[in-house]
Amino acid sequence: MTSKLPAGVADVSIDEIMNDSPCGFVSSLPDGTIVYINDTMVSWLGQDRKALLGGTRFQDLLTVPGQIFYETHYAPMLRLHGSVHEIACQLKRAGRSPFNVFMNSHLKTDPDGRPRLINTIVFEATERMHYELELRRARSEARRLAAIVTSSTDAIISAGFDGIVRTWNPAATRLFGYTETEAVGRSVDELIVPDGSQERRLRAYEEIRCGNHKHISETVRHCKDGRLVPVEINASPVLDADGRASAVSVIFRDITGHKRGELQLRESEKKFRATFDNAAIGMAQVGPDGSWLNVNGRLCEIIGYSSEELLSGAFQDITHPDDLAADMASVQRMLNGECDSYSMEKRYVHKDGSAIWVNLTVGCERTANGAIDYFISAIEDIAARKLAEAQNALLMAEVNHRAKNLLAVVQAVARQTARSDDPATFVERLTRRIASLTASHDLLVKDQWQGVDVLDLVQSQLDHFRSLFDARVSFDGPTLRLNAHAAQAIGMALHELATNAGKYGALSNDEGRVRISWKVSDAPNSAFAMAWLEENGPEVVAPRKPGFGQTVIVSMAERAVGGTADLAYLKSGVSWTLSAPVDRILEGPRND
Amino acid sequence: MTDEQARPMRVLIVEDEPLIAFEVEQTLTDAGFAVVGVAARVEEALAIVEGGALDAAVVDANLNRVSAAPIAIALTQSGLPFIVTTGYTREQLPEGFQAGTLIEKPCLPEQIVEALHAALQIKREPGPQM
Repeated sequence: MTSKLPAGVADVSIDEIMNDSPCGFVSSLPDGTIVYINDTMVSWLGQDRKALLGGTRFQDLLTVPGQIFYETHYAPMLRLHGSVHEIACQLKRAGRSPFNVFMNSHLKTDPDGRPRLINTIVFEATERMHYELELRRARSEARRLAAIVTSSTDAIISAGFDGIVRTWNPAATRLFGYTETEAVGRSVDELIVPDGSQERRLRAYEEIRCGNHKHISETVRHCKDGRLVPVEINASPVLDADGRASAVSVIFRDITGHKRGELQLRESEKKFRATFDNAAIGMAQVGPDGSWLNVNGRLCEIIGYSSEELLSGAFQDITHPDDLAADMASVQRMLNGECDSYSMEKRYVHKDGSAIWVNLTVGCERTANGAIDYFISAIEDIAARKLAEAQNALLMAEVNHRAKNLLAVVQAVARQTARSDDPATFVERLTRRIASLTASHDLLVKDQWQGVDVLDLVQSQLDHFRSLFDARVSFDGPTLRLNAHAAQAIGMALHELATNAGKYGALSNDEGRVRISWKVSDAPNSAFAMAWLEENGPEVVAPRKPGFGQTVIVSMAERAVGGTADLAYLKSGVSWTLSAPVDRILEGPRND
Repeated sequence: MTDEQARPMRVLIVEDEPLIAFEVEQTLTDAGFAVVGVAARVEEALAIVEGGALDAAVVDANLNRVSAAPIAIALTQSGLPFIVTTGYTREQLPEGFQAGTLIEKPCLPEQIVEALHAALQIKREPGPQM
C-alpha cells in the first residue's frame, strides 16, 4: 500500500482512507488466506479482525452457494482474465442474515507471471438490488397497464390540458375511426368533440386540472366517418412524480348497445303493460305477504275496487272468509317451495258486499335463492258459469220433481182406469189417457213450462178427429195461455169428452158437430169460461154409473182450477161448461 | 184402536194434483179414515189446520211451485202427525218438513195408509213400552 498522496493530505494515511471507505477491501493470497481486511469489511462481517487475519480464507467469508460459485467460476475466471467485476454474492454474518454484495477482484502477479495477491473490493448491494427490483416492478407494472390499455374494449386516450392527444389505444381507433398515428398530436376538439361542446370540454379539463374526477353518463362524440356515437365518459387527471396533474386520461365507453337494449326493454315493457292492462281476465302481481303490487283493469272491474284502493291492501282483505284458509294453505305451499303454481275456485267479496266467484290461477317468480319474489295471479270471473251451474242443478231437481209427479199421475190414471173398466178395454183406455197426458206435456215443454195456448191444447186433445176440424169440430175463442196445472186438467177433461163423443156422441155418426169455445169475461169479476157443445149426434143418455171419465170431466177439473164444471146430457147432445177465476187458470206474464 | 173405533181418524189431504188427491181420498176412505178436506193451496190447508177438527194430514211438499212448508210447520206446532209426499228427495226439501214421514212419489196410496197408521200409533203411545 505505498503510493504518493497529493500535497496537503500527506498526514492522512492510506490505511485511514481504506478504513473510512464505504466499501469493503480484502487482500488475500492465491490460496485465499486473508492478509489484509479493512474496518468496513470487518464491521459487515461482525467478526474479530485478528481471527480473520489468523488464517481465514476469503472464500470462507461467503455463504455455501457463494463458496461453490467462488471455487467453480470466480477463482477460475480470475486466474484466466486477471480480474472479475460486479459479481453478486452473499457474505456470511455472525448471527444475522447474509449480506448482499458485489465483488470486484484484481489478481496481482510476480514478474514471472505467477499469482501473488488478490485484491478484492466489496460493494454493498442491498440498496442497489432494492432499486433494481423496484425498477423491474415498475417496468412490469407499466407493461401490464399498457397491456390493459391496449386490450381494453373501452377507448382510452390521454391528452394534455391543451387538448392535444398524447396516447390513443386500439379501442379508441375502433370507436372513433382514427388510427393512433392520425390522432396523436391533434386536438380532441378537432377529432371527436362535437361542435358546440368544446366549451364544455374545456371546463371539464379545468376541473380535472384541479385534481377532480369527471363522469358523464351519457353524451355523444364524433367519429371519423361523421357519425355521432353515444358514449359514457370517465376522465381523470394524470399525476406526475410531484403529484401534480400533468395530463388528462379519458375513458370512452360505447353505450350504443345499452341504448338499444334500453329501447327494447322499454318497448317490451310497453307491450307487456298493454297486454296486462287489456287482458280479458283479471291479472295481478302479488307480494309474498299477499299485498297487491300491480293489478289490471279487468280485475278492478270484477271486484269493484279501483286500482288505488286495491294497491293499498292485500288479497286477504277481499277474499271471502270461507275461502281464505284454503287459499292461504296453497300460498304457504308455494312459499315453502313445495310447488310453483296452484289453481282454485274461490270467492272475492265485491265492493258492494256480494260474493264473486272466480277461478284463480297463481304462478310465481322466485329470487336467485328460491324465495318468492312475487306471485302472478290470473283471475277469471266465473259468476256466469256458477250461476248456470246453480240454475242447471235447480232445473235438474225440477225436472226430476216433475217427472215423478207425472209418473204419480199416470199411476193414478192406471189405477182408476183399472177400477172402472173391464180388463179387455183397460189397456186401450189407459194407453189413450197416457197419450192425452203426453200431448199436454209436449205443449208445456215446447213453451218451457210457460203455459199453453188454449187452441193448441184443444186441438192436440182432439187430434184423433183432425180430419173433421172446421167442418164438424169448431173452435172459437181468444188467444189465451193456460197455466201448466190447468192445462193438464183441462187437457184430460177434453180427452174424456172427445173419447165419449167418438164412442156415443156427436162424433160417433156422420153429421154430428162439436163446438168448443172459450172466453174471459170483463172485469171486475174477471173469469175464464169454456164450453163443449155437441149437436146433431145420436140421442144421448146419462150413464147409469158415473165412471172415471166423468170424475175427470167434472170434479177433477173443478178441483184443478178452483171453479165449477157442469156436465149435462141434453137431447141435442152433451154439454160441458167450465168456469174459473182467471188467476187460477191463466199463466201470469211470461218471465222470459 | 178399540176406544177410537166409534170415531174414524180425521185426515186432511193437501195435494194440488186433483187426480192424485182423488186417489188418496178414495184409498183413505176405503181404509176407514174420514177425509175432512182436500186442499190444493196453502191458505185453504192452513184454514183447515187452524179449524182444529183434525187427527193427521197427508201433505204434498210442492203445491203448483209453492212450498207447503208453512202447512208442515203449522201441523208440527199443533202436534199433529203428517205424511209428506213429494217428488223431491229429503235433501232437496226445504226446512219445516222434518217432523213428517217422507214418502217419495210415485207411491201406492196403500203406502200412505200404512204410514198414517204408524204415525197415529206412535202419537197415541208415546215412548217405548217395556
